[in-house]
Amino acid sequence: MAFRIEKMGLVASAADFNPGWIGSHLQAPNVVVLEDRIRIYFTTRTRDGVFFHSRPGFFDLALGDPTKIIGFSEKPCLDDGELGNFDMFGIYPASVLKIDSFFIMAYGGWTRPQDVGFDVSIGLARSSSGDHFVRDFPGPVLGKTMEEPFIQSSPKLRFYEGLFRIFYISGKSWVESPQRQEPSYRIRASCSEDLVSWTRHGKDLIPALTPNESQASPDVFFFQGKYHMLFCFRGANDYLGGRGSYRIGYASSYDLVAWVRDDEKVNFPVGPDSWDSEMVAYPSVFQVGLSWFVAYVGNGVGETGIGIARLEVQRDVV
Amino acid sequence: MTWSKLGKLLGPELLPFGYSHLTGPVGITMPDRVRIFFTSRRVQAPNFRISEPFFVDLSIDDLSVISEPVKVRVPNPQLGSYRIHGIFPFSVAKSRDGSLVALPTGWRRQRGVDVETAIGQMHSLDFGESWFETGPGPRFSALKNEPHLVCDASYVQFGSEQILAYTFGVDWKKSLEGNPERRYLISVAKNKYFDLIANGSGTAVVPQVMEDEVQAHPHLLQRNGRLEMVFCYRRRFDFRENAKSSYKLGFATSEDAINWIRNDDLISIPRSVGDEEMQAYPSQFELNGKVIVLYNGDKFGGSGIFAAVKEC
Repeated sequence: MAFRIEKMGLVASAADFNPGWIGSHLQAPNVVVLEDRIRIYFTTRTRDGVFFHSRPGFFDLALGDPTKIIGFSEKPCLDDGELGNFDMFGIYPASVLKIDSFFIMAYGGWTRPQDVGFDVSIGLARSSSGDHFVRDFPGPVLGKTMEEPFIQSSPKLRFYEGLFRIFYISGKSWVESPQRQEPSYRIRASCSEDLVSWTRHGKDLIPALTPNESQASPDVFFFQGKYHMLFCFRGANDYLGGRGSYRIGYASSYDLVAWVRDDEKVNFPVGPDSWDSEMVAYPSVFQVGLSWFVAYVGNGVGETGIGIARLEVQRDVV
Repeated sequence: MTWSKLGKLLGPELLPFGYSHLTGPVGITMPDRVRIFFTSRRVQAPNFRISEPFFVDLSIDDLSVISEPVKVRVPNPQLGSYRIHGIFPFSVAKSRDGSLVALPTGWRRQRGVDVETAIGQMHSLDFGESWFETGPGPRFSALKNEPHLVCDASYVQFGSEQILAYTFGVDWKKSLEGNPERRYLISVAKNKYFDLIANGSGTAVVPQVMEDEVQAHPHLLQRNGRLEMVFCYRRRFDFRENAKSSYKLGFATSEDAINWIRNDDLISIPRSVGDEEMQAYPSQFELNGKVIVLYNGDKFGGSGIFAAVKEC
């Protein structure tokens, strides 16, 4: 099975929204399809001294036209963590799952250690409305372990085969380049019956194409008897628009454990519009009726905004 | 129960050039000696000290010093590590097979607050001269209801169970001067298998005797069929310069590791030169049927390591 990407264009950029809390980017879309609307959670960042500070919010699209904005959050939907907590320096990204009448958010909470620019752990929060979330715990549910020493981030919260699943990334190393320190991270998975106790799978799921490849945004969907994953990946250097820039990859699995990577099966192009001419990244897959879509960010990892593409099945050519 | 004070066992004059403090002492009895593990600080840059583990050997007969301090060999931390800025305390214990296990508290300096900590796990097959770890990350760290500052581990086997005592951060509050100061309390986690012990409950097990009490450095000993814990406690603010608010020793006992009865009168050690202002970071071990407590005196270990013997 292969897919074809049909781009519908840029849907929202930071300039489209005007409350004071919206910053320079719209990043990391995560989509929840509701009865009367498509809700896209995102994070936006402002500059706080020398650092960026990200906060999550959402905008809503019309069910019948996923390019038409019909609402947005007037304020962040989750506040920063308390002084000294893992999420005191902001939230990025935030993935939301709706189960029955509850919205559950898995999010990356940011700290600012002195040895490197940041560290991230994954926390959970809940909401009955989907508009404003309250934390399950003041601490993370996926933090550091002996095998996963730093940066647990980019969570995608899903529910498959009777278990909650967080697909996420885990830091492998910090790579020092002449200009800056850059982390390398890979996709991993964990599962839970109750959202409290989490079992980590403990292995990198997706083979890397280069030694310092970083992978993010591992979004998994079930379609025609198989699990499919869209994710993004980049090199360690020169990735903000350069040769190592973000692209979208693809893998598939029958059991959520063994994954086969084959980026050609999706072949997600950059351009031809200018907003995503340099990179495509942070995919989030959603279904409306019988149609499948991908929300994603373009150039500058969300500097230009969030766009939508249609994901169409291409029959295998025998 | 009374304690007979042995006084200062080890002072900073023993340390190699450039090092200060002998902090968080733990005694391990060996057939022919007592090995005292501690951490010591060296200046890495202006206003930036890094804490590293050492040991020194004492005579099994009279606890006199019989070796130079030895800097132990631990793997270098990688960039981003929970212990990139040092180890304190090193927290060594005997494991079930008699080899040594360390549950070091790793320090990593932060922005917003001073520091974050987490507890690692290392093993030694040469009585503590060199150590290896099975992974680069920490064994216990901020989780669920323990949002930060998981530190100060003590491990002991108790019946068929493995017991871990440690402290976790409750919150940070700013002083009148605007400096964030931390508060932590003691918790215990246990399991039949050490590998299955998990922290994160946020349950403080030792009763508090003052408002805004900070508890630290619990150390466990199994004795007479129960657990005995020594620890230290202080006020949240004004503890660095004001002896009244600074560290004192505490004592608690438990039959089940869950319910603890606190009675600090059971560790009343008279103060004298070197521990007039504070008594902190205690641990205990048995030698020839007697319990010996090690602790730090003034200046958070700057004045050295002190000892007392329990007479009972």
